[in-house]
Amino acid sequence: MAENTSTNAVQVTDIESGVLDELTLSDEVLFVRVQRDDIRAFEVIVGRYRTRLYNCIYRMVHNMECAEDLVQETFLRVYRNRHNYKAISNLSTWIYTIALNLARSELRKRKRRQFFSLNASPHENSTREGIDLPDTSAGPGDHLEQNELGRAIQHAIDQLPDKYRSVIVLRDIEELSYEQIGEILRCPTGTVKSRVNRGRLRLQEMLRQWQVEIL
Amino acid sequence: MDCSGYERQMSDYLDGQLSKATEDELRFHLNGCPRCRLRIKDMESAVRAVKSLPAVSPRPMFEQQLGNLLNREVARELYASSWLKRVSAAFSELGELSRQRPVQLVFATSLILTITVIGGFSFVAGPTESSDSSAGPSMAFSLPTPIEPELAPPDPVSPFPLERELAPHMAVNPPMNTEQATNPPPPAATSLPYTPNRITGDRPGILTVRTMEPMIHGIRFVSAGTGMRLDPSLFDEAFGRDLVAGGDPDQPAPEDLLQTVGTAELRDTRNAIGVPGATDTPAASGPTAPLKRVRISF
Repeated sequence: MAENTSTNAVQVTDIESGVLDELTLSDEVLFVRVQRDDIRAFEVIVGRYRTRLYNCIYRMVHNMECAEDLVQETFLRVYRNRHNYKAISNLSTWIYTIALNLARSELRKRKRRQFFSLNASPHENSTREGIDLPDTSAGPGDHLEQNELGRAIQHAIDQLPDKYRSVIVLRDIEELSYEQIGEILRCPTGTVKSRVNRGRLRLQEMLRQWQVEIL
Repeated sequence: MDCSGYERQMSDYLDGQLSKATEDELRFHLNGCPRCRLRIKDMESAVRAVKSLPAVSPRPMFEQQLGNLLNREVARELYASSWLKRVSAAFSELGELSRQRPVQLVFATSLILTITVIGGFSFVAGPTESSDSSAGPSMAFSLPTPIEPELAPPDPVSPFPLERELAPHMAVNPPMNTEQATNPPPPAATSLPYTPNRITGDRPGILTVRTMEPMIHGIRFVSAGTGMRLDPSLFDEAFGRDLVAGGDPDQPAPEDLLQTVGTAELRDTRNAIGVPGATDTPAASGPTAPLKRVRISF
């Protein structure tokens, strides 16, 4: 503990003297600067996480515009709440927690919208010709998938329930550790492992079905 | 353990999360169970397929949009903190004054109140006297009519130091925004004889207004006269802060973070009263006085 404190003291001194290059500093040390309103340090943090977060959120929500909006919102929240961040946890965990919460909230909103559109009475509006069903055609981001297999995998991820989708994206796409995923989703590592296993089993079934259809 | 029990361990096995003993047990089971062998092979393929998904990147303009958004946020926070600092400083000064000189404070407060009441009374009475009698009593509650400079009472000491400091006669060229250009400046701002401070110089001073506020499209007008008393609540301290010469030494210079949304030319208009747009008016000679602060109403 004492050693850790002295290390932090050295790092803070280095920060103040401006000796170290900000590109080589760890996320946590850089974020100490951000907490002191160093905008340049925040730009470096944004540069490090921008594409990773976008990739993660895109795989969750499967919509380019929505993913961009959520990434923007994530960084806004990170900046606004920078003083709430405690250095006891990884910065990446904290940022992913914010991003995942936003993505899952978006998925819940979509589900509600879908629920209400399916439950709307056809008599409410005489001009209504039918009920809204989820669009299973190519989404705005589908062109990003280079081949049929890519589209099938993304479609299979889209079909997963939120709790499995989150862990599959964090584990198999972002390649985070089980412990980190547990911190992000605020659940025990055992639960994460169980969800990853079930999510993979479901994916496997869906992809096998897709293979049968193709062949 | 049956197949479903081993099935729960498959994911951990692929990730290398099983202990040596459990892994050996699973392998032993897989050797003798073709169904589970197929299952774990399929799962491995599925995991490999998900991991093979290409990393997607945002569109090229996203970086710029994100930068703009964060800049706006930084600027908004700077303004907010500056405003809060000023308010808290004002309150602490007031508290200090009340402790040290309570009598003087009471006297100054009552003086300001008296001036405000008298000023407000004459303000309400003015338009009623000059208005047509057929207009009825409701005229007293209508918008104030601009007072002619000759009839304007001498301005009492302003309770707001900024305005007293300022008071030079300045005209503001209409901003480049066409929407704003159609909005004429208030007549009182260019028709006042009271000039305790002046901005003079060979060249017209250029006031650059930087703001990140997206709803502000330009300068509507600059209040420079004592007859055109603006409501103090309209004055955003944040703009004052940005325009203070030298800036706040405790804060980082916000210039790099802000966007210029408009410029307005400040000119000495003693010879150009009522012609705010004229550019050929000879300016008074002499060195340019330092512009301390300017109040701007958007």
